[in-house]
Amino acid sequence: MNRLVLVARQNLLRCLKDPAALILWLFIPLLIGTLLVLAMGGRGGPKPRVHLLIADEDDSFGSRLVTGALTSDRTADFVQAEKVDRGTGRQRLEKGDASALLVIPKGFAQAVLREEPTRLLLLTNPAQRILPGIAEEMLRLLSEAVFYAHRLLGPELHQIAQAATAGKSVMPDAEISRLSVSVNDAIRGLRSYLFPPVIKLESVEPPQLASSAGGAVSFAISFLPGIVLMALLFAAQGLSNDIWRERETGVLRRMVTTPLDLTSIVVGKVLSATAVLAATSGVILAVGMAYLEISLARWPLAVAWSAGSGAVLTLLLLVIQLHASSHRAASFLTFSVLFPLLMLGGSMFPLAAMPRWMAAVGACTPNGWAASRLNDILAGQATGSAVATGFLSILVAGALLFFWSRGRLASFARR
Amino acid sequence: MIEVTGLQKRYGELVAVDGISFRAEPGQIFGLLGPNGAGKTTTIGCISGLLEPTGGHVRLLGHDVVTAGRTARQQLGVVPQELALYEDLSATENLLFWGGTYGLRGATLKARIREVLTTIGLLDRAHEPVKRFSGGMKRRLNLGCGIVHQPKVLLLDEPTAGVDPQSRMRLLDLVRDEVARGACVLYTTHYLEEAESLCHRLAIMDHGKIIAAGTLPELRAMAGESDLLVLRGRFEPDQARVAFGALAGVEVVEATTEALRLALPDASHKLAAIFASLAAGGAEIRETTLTQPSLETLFIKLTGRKLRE
Repeated sequence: MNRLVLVARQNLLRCLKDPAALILWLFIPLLIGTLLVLAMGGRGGPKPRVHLLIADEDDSFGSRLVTGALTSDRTADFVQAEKVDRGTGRQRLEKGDASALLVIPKGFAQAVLREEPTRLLLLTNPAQRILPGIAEEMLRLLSEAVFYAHRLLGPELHQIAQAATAGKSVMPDAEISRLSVSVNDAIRGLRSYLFPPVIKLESVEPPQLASSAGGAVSFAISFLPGIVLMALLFAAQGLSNDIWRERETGVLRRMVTTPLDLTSIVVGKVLSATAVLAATSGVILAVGMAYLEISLARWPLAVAWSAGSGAVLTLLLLVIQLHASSHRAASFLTFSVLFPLLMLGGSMFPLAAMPRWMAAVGACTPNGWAASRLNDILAGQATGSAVATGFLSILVAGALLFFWSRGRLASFARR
Repeated sequence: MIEVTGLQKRYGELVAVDGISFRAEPGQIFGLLGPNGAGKTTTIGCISGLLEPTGGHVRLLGHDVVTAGRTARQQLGVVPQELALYEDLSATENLLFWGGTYGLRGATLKARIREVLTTIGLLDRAHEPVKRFSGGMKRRLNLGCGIVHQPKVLLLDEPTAGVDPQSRMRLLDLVRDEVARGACVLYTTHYLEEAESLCHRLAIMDHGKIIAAGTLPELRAMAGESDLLVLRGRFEPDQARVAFGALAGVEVVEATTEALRLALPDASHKLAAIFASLAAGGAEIRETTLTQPSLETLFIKLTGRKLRE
């Protein structure tokens, strides 16, 4: 026992002598995580919306249809439309007060009904990139809708246009009913395609975690387990790579000539690694949980889980290091394993945001598996038996990897 | 005490150590002498438990290093040829760790560390990272880490390799101190002066075998009173053997078309006769080397090459 503590203390001491590495293991995942969370709109708060100024110079039934479409309840989530005149609109756009200014020119509705060329003017705010793009896409969809409406209801629309040009303020009842029947027939013909639509849309949303306040929190929270696992993987790589430094400086050979046995050397290393991983994940979890308003009562279990998973990942990378033919090859090999694990295991993109097949593969990676369970712990959805089974699995995997690395260490030290 | 019996270490077809046997006593330094690649470090590796012998036995204080490795290593101190230190840690932290591996703890360990730091002359640099030390200081600390637990058996694998003369003298004094304490020291080197001044008993190794062993006087006697004369040039080997056969006391150690190696007493006075005899046979002499009797001459006599070749 004394020897285990001795080796663990020695490894910890050496870690502390290299604070730059410790900071990097913390800083890189936190930086990447912060960037990803910001890119996804942060923790919550107001969603960014397209602030669209509309100058309706046509002021017709047709132009009001367009304005209505853009200000309907369905689009209110992502478009905030506001009617202005062209001059005011331009001034406000120049001040950066909106994402775009849509000008509906005079005669727009007539041109649309007659299927004549017309133009909608969209002025965009150059300081924004994504929101004006959304406005452009919406108008493109609108123009396509007009095109298809003409393909379906061309004669009817022409008749309406002619009636308007002839100055008929009121159409005869017979005319209106004929047009209605005609439109109804056209729509009935399309019923099988439109009701229900032939394209089925399935929306997949990441599991919503409950905040300590009880409400659902944003998509950003699903990044936290991945970020923790990213930090653990980076730290595990660095900690396992230390075996090569010990070999190259001759201390590993010297250690083998002392009464220290190989078990003490490996277990001592794993113990010190576990302490470092607990500290690393502890900091990230504390920051993340505070930011995302997750109950800190879950912190101890989350840290214990992270440290345990990290210890197994360290052993896994240690086994790889011990099989490499040189220090350079060891680094290459471990990074070759590390980056696919990061990509697949939910550290770069949450598993919930991946295609189903990829998420299934990712969940089978060691870090993906650990991240899923950490997700459950953070969400307060981990049952006692699930936690116990998880820790038992860690123990079994750790034991197997321990025997493998211990067996390999003897020849590694003597090479 | 170190007892090595029929020790063999093979790497596939290569025989690194070929059935060597020797015994080193407490309070004495046993020197293993030989050129690079002779098998000295492999022998040390087998004795220290780092390498598993292919054959034979090694006992330290009566404990077999294979079957009772941990017990055997408990009283063993190893100072490897390459520096084996944690360079990012201080001298004290290194000594704390290596002392701890042998079970030293607490006040005993701290007292012993202070003692070692004083002995190796690093007390004033005790808390500095080792990476700031000079080569000689690192060598001294390397030795310090091997003796911090006051081992009864000490293996020193070329501990003075690459150090300046001043540090070398200091290191040798430290080794003598350990012997005075009663340690049994196995010392490998290819520096003959070191071996001659330090070792009580010596074994000369070449190609994995011990080719001569004994005390320094015994080995000198093996070399005989003869000087060694090496001639390089162009020779007729058979003619040379016949010609020197006629000269009293001249032993032809080696004769090739390019070199002649002769062992003869008082060679400097016989040079004229030797040259005349060779000239008569049409030989051409380009280089002449005359060496007084020493371990070097014994080694050359036994192996046909210099120790540091």
